[in-house]
Amino acid sequence: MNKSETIKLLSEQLGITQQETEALYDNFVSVLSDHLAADQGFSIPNLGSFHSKIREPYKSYNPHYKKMMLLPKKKVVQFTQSSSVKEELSGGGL
Amino acid sequence: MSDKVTFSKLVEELAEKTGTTQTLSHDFVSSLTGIVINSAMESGKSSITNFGSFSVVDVAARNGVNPRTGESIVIPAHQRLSFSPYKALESTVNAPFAHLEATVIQDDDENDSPTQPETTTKPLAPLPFGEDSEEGEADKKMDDPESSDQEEKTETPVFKRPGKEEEKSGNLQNVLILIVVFLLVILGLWYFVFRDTSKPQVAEQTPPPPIETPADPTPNPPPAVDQTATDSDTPEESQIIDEEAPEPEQVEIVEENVPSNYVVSSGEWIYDIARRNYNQPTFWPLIFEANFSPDQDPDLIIPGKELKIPEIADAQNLTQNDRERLASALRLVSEAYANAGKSDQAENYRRMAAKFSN
Repeated sequence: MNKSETIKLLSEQLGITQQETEALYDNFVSVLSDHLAADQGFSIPNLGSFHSKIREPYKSYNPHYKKMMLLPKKKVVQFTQSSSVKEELSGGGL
Repeated sequence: MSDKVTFSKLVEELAEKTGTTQTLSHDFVSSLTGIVINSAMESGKSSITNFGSFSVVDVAARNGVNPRTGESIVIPAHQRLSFSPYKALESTVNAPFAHLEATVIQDDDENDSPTQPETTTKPLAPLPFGEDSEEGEADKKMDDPESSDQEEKTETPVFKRPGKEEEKSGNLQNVLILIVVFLLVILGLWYFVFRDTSKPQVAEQTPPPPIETPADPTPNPPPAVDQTATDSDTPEESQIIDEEAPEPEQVEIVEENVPSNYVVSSGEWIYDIARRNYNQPTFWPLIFEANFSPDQDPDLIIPGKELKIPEIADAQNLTQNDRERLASALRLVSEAYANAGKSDQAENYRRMAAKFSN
């Protein structure tokens, strides 16, 4: 499901125009991104929690150069699924 | 752990940004997550554009330990919702470290084994227990990106071994420094030449004003200096032409008579004279040796002085005798520079002399 489909569906569910939904969607994404960039984690109910974390430099083999590379320090986003998702998945899987 | 923002705060901000009510924002977010989860459950993947994509991945069964009892258990195969950020989110979050690049580690196998334990344990060890301290450190760094950059630069060498990449950057720096020094030297030399010549030039050129307007020669030197910074050869020539204009007869006569004697015209340097006579500017110490004593600064010669030009049979193929003459001339120049207080130049020419005497 792509963005336009999602927005169409959302606008129907919420009873607002697609433009309004799209504005909400874009602002929602930017709010989340800003918080993660500012090192602030958060959790979204029924989905999971997000936080950013420094990944230390590490060595890895680069198959293109056929050499060991030192990959630099990086700040990455980490996600932990919520317990409701976990239950749903294990329930569906069994 | 890093700071946390509550969900209600997120909803509040979203409402503020879009100018809608908090209820609507809340409904929007919960509907969106509902759609995302449903889609993930149905098709195995879903996404929030520009934020990230979610996919259901299989996790194979593995052995684990019950942390309470210590007995080993088998964690059964299961599924998990995994998240991978979109490029936009990734680069926004990684902005403070965006300037860092992966580097090739040069010396592989021998050095790898002893250092590997260090590098692998460091990033891994803090994960289960020491997350607090690590995160705290990270937070401090993130507070102002500039200091984090500095720390970053001092930190990474711990992991780096003196590999190719460091040599490379070192070489690059050296080359840049050399280029800058070279340009400065050229500029400095030209400055000397012009300073010396500008005074006598004015004195010399004011007497015959009918030939050249006095306005002409004076504005000329500054642009010439600019040109010399960019290309070294052509301005010299133009300069020489400039010099020849006021007193053409003298120079022409001298050039026809070559190579025994030569009158220095203003703005000339022994370097140029050597080039004109030998086609080999680097032989100028010979001229210097033949005409000056070591107490003379080689960079300052008096215009109008008649110079003896020592002969060299073939400037392209030096005989042993010529080389020795050059070496001794170079030593003299070195001495002269030392006397003039230019120790760098003295050292340069001393080295050159050593090269020729070998």
